Amino acid sequence: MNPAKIPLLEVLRVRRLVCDGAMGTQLMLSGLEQGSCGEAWNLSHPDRVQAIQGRYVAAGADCLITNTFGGSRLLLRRHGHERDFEAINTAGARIARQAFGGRPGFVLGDIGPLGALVEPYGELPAAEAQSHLEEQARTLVIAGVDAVIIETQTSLEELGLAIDAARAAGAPCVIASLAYDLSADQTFYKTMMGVSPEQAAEFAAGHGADIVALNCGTGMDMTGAARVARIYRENCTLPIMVQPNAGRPVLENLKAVYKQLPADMARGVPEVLAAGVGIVGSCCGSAPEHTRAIRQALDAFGG
Amino acid sequence: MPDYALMNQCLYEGKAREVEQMTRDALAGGCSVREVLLEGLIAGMSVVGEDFKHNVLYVPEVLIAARAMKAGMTVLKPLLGPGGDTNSTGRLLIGTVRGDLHDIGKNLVCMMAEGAGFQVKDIGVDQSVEKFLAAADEFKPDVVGMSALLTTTMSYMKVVVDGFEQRGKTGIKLAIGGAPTSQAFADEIGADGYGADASGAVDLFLSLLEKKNAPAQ
Repeated sequence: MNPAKIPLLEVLRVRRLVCDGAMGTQLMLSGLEQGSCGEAWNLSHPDRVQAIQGRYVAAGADCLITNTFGGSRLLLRRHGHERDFEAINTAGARIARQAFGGRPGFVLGDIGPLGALVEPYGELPAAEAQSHLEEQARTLVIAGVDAVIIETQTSLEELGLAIDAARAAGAPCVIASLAYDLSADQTFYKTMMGVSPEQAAEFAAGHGADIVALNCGTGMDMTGAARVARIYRENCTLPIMVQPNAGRPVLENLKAVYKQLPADMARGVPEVLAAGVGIVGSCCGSAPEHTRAIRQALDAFGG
Repeated sequence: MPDYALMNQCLYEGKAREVEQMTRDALAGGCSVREVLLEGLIAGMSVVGEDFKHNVLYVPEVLIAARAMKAGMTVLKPLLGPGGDTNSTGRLLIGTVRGDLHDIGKNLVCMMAEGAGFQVKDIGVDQSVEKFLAAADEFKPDVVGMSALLTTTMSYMKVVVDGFEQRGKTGIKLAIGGAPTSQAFADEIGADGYGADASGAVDLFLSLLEKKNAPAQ
């Protein structure tokens, strides 16, 4: 547990929180080769993972997301790290806790999408998806996370299985986070599977999630996050969390890079907070400097 | 004359059994395999593609429609015979590039391409330039499609493009797609085109085929 021992949901009733930023790009800056398994670094380079998370704490993050996004047995198998499933997830929770260095803070145990479509649309049997999700949720909860965050979700089927898994594992708090793409005419957001923020809010509340959230997605910046947050607020009473990208990607040296400056990203924070958001973090392209700028904007807003 | 509009509608709604039956009925009524394929199935799937592009339909509806298309194709396929190739739109070789294990989008492109009448060879995820070249030697595609989801793996597409370029004039067209890619990126690495989504990818393949088959100047 976090040293403060006050549960995340109780703290959220009295103040707003800052969550960390991107992990993948930071891992690569620290030497992770493209395409290799970032989660395996929890075992091979725990010091580097902790150093990244420590920088986010220093920048003002109250919440750290464990380096376990692709940590399900199903995804680790693709990289040949299936054997290390339990150790990788357990280490992920421990590293994040250590990164707080004894200060109060919340460790959010990360569960990403399984990377395959669950039946009836895809070929992954629901029972198999469920067992992978339950196993990862259980491992993270036993390792002592303060919440389980189910991220980058696009279908209510998989999200529902993951919420159930986190609840069954006894997670103290369950965060349901969806990835929305901006429509071709730029007028609305829906997930790849066609889920609207209205549906997601209703589903998350009805299915027993404690916090409804958004992260990543095509064309999801801080301003877009405010738009979706307002829809969440109109459709449910759950606390809201947002982790938009650092703007839209641009092409540089044969790579798509997110280049929105911290100050530009932070400019959208008041709008997000006015929409009723309780936790503000960031996703692709963000770095500790973005977290610092979000922290300042949040404090200036009045916490 | 079969009611192709109704058949297209059934396909759009993903009514696999109806589409299969209508395909049989149309053939029994004396329609040619090619006509049923083009007007009954491909025409229906192209409406699905358009609506997908404009956010009217999303991935689940497309997958269900593709399943209905497949049900019709199972009736037609045996009749296409060994000369079946002559009835296909073109040949597509597709894969996700090295270092990238994502395939939901690529699989959708495969389905939509099959829905447009392409013969599709999917070599899967994490594919090196050597694998692409070897598969191309064997399959003899008109178009090679490359996919990447990660901002960090997309640059490998240039390695594949260069690999094909070093082969000299193969006539094979190279197409790319995936969330972080763009037309500008396609231009920069020397690919022949970029598809913004599964439906856009099929439009691109068709336009590349036209270019490929156009008489040399």
